[in-house]
Amino acid sequence: MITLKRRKYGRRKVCRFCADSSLTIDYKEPRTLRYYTTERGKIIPRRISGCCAKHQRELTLAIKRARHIALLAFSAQGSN
Amino acid sequence: MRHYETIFIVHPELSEEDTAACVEKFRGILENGGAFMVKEDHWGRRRLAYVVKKQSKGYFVLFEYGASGAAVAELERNFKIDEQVIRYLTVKIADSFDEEAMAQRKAEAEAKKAAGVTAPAEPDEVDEDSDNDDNDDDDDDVRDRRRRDDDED
Repeated sequence: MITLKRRKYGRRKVCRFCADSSLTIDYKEPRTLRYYTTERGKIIPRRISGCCAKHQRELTLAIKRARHIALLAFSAQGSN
Repeated sequence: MRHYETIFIVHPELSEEDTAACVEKFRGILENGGAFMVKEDHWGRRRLAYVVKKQSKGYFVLFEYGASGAAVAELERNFKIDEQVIRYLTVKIADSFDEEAMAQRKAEAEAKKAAGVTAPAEPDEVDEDSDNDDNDDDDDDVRDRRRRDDDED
């Protein structure tokens, strides 16, 4: 057999922003952006979020902008 | 003329009149520089994600306008000088600015505003509540994703 290993629980991830054109990436909407950060505030990588390269780039830029104007945290604070 | 958008955060401990005067001042600076205002949005007092200049809240104002680069530079220079402004961010939306189309959009927005006067009245507490909700949602999502990640490895 060709060594095309399919993961046991493998599920093909689809970029949410490609699948749904009504979703927009905007640094002014921390709610959508927060979905793509960990609870510590890090940006979730593409291999986990399943975003396509284009949208991941846009997301990264939007998250960084949102952080600058204090809509998103740079890192978790306090007791964590 | 290019199409820009600026968000700035005004010090939360200013009185309402002082905040209005501060916003008025910056709008004046833009208009003196030949800018065409499309939208002015007051998000009101919101909680900041982290402490900025020892403040955990801030009064957010959003300007959308068409202006030359020089006008934006002048606006940002004044932001730096003014201690009432604790953060600002300017983003270019488009390289070209269609004044007529924007004037039309502005008129429509104002007509809508006049039709539903009662709509824009949200106290800042609403924002905080929804923030908390979001955090709860997020935690679940992240855990979910972690689990998936483990499977892959």
